[in-house]
Amino acid sequence: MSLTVGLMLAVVALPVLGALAVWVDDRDRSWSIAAGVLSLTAVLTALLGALMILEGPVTYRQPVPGLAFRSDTLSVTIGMLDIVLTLGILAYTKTAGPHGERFYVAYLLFTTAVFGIVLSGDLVGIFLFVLLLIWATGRLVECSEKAGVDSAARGYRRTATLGALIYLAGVGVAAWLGGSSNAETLAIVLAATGYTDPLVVTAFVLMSVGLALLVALIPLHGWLVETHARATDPVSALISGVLPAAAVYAFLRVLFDVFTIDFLSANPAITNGIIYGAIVSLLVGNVLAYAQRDIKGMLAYSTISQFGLVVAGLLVATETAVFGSVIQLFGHGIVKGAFCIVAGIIAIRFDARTIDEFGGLANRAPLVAAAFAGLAIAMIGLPPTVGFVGKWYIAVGALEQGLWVVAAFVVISTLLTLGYMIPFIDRVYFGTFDGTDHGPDTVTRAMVLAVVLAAILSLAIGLASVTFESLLREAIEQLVAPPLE
Amino acid sequence: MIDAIHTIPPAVALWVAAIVALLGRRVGLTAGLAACGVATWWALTVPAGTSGSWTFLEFVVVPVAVDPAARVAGLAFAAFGTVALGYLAATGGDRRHLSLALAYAGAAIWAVFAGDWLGLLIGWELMALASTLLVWLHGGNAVRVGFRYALVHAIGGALLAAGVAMHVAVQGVSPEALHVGDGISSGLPALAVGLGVGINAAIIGVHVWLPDTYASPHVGVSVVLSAYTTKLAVYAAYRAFPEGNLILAYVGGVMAVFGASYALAQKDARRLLAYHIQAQVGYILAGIGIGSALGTAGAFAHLFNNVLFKGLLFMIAGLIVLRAGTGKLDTGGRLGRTTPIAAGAFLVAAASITAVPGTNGFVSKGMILDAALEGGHTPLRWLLLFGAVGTIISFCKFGYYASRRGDSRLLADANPTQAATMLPVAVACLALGLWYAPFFELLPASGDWSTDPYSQRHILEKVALFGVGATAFVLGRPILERLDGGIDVDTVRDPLVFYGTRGLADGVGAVFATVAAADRGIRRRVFAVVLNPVEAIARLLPESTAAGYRERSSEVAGTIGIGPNRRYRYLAVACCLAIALLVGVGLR
Repeated sequence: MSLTVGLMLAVVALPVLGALAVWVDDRDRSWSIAAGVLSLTAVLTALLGALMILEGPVTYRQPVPGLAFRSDTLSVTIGMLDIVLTLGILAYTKTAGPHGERFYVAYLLFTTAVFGIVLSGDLVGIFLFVLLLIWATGRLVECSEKAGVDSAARGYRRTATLGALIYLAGVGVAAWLGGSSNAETLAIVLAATGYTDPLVVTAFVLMSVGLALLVALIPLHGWLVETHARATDPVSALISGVLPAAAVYAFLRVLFDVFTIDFLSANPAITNGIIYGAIVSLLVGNVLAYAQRDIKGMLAYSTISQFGLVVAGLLVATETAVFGSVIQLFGHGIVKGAFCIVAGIIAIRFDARTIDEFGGLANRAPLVAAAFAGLAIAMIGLPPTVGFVGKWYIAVGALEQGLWVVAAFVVISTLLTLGYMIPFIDRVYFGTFDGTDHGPDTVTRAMVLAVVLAAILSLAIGLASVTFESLLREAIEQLVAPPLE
Repeated sequence: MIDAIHTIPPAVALWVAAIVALLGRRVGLTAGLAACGVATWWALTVPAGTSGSWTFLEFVVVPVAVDPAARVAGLAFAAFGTVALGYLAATGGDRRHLSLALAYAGAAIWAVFAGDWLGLLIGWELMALASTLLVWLHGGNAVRVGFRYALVHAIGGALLAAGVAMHVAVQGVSPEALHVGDGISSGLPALAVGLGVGINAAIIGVHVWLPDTYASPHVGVSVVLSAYTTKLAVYAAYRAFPEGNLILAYVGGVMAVFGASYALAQKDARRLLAYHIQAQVGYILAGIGIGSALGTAGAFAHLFNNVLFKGLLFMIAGLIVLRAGTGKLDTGGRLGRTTPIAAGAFLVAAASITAVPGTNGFVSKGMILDAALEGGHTPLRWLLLFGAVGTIISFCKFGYYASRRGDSRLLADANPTQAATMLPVAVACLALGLWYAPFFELLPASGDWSTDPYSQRHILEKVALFGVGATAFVLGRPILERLDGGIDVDTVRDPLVFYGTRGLADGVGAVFATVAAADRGIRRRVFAVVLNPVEAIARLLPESTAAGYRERSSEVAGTIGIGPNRRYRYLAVACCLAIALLVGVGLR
């Protein structure tokens, strides 16, 4: 067992141990334990990333069915997103809550589940970790004091479990064909069976629809809007930033590792269907975001539209577009997560939730307003932020394939995002203040620092996008390469 | 160590100082002077060539690319930065002024040393932003003028960016596509870049922002602004057309005449000088447009010299504004016996701009005139000579009005700190006019041209020009007396733009109103239900349950109503599966 494998197991196991420690602990040190465990996990993830860059991808298989781990720079990217967000959100939850054992156990298990999905090399393994993720998210949603939160959490669990089960059904069909649920083995068997075989197609459809529900593509998006609205702000940050990203990652693995790019060219109807479905998601999500007065509602629909873009980029399936999708996934996670935290900060200090209450905040909280504007610019996707870079690569990749429709919708979505973001910025900077101000002391420096850092990060990733590309290039080349005979 | 420093763009030093300046005026001034000093040293000692590269998207940005043209322009910007900052602080600029001025000068220096169009564009836009804020800081009328300034430069920047993008499209996308290289591809890209650059260079028709803006803000800000925006535009023109461009040359020639003529009509000191910026930029554009080795060298020599003497003139004008309380030359107090420093500096600066032998203006203007002669562009040469006469007349006028007319009260002289910023510039104007040889070494293609500034022909030509100019001033003074401001293109253009835009806005408004009226009808029935289904449903419910329903719904963000419905969700999943299976398997 090499160092890499040890690290892979460690990042999955560490948060579980942390959750145990929180559960056992009876002296109210949940936050400190979580912070310590997550920091350590972050260090190990960074180490794992460094090893991936130096030594390339690693696979680790156990004779036990369902247990296989694999890692490359792509999985580390999503792992990094998870850990950066969970760490950043800790800065907010320390004082603003939710507090307590229940919350932090679920919080740490959430992290584990994401790492599990990201590192798992077995389709059934992915399913098990998805179940853990659904359970943990439901728990996190329940840690809110808003009315109706229990039914929202219950609804979320049922819907998401349904999605996971549909995915499992697909895995079952594939495993029946291939005699294994291991991604590598399955890829070989499926290629031998032929990509147009009805059973192979059925397996793909079941897995895709199941995962699409977990990504919250329209019309399967209801759970995201509901949980987003009911959950507390830090949990919303995870729901928007990490949850769909983990599902997209699983989809990416299923799509390129198991079914491979040849499946896409063998079934143009399915490829186009998903692309147009994703574009509908992009468009409808954006339009519905217009209808929102509440910032959390706006953020939820904006997430839905962004993931439409990401999925469309994946289906374009060129190196450029897939890189665009991955960096968009990462950048969106950071930006949206920070946006939810900003919304939380504003709610704590000004009791402001809807656009009408956002007037003139810039004069009272200049730094928070600047972070708000910076994040909005990144979300709209103006150069040189990460939002622009992701869209650029997706558009360029789409044009390479002659899919000008996708490129056109990238531009349209930018304009639409501009349309619903600008009113908020306009209010914040040029509106007149008319509300309550609980004073700057209600917000800690760590909270503000976290969102300002996120805004700076979104700029830095955009500027350093080429470095990112060189780090991810190898993994993406392997991904979109046709399978070896 | 020094090699390592030479790979860092000097703009970074100024930007750091700009941040430091936010902490306080004194510490900001110190940091700013140090940064400009470092940048000057850097520009003098950095070896030619490029260093560093940074890839954004597919394009390689080169932060440091040094050639003689960049060195001369960078040196002028950095060295003038020290005196401009000093003057800004000595005339009451606060830390915000200093910080923005440093950010602005830093952006200009960044753009000069950028080795590619993307880098230049970044500096270009940062300059527009920082200078607009600088103008706005003054408040009052400057805010209105600042808006127009911002609008004009936004259009200019957009044109430049569009031109560069078209240039890349013509060349084909490659990492080096944005590198400066042999200039912008001809045709549409060249036109767009030419226009974008032209707006910043204040070519005729799009120049009104210049006198408006430079006469409005804080006097120290005028000095800072006078050095960078237009000069960077000329520099960009050289980068776009390194081989010259005859249209550009003639545009420059006409600008020289036009600017000088309009300057004649001005009574406001800073407006008068602003029109002279246009005239001098015309000279520089003419040199670049001629494109010969001597023309380019002359253009850059004149760029450098112009930064010096024009900056000095703005300092004196600023002093008059400060002491007299107005920039109007015919109403304020007078320069004279009580103001030896200001009057002396004025004489040197006026001699430089009118190209009196012994000053730097004489050397560099002579080079451009020679280049025109050498290239056989006789009409251009006549335009430039005509402009020179206009310049002479208008500075006779400036001197005459500043010392003989208006309020008979004598103004107080520059205080020691102000004098300390003005005198070095005056000395430099004279020094570069007399010991020009070392300076010639720095100019582009220094081996490919030669000139003898003090040849008999040059001197005779100057004597003739001054004869004509002085005579014209004496004879034409009664006419000049009556002119105040003159009618510029803005009297026609502004109403045209104003009523045109208003007409457009009215038209758009009418269309929108029609759509909105139609929309109201539809919305009342359909949209109201779709956008606010909760209310629509609540209206159908009995009174008692409706209130509860409204309350419960208000806690859900998705006003679309159907989102949170679980049954709908299962239906959606089933439909998706059915359709996907039908498409994937069934239709085969």
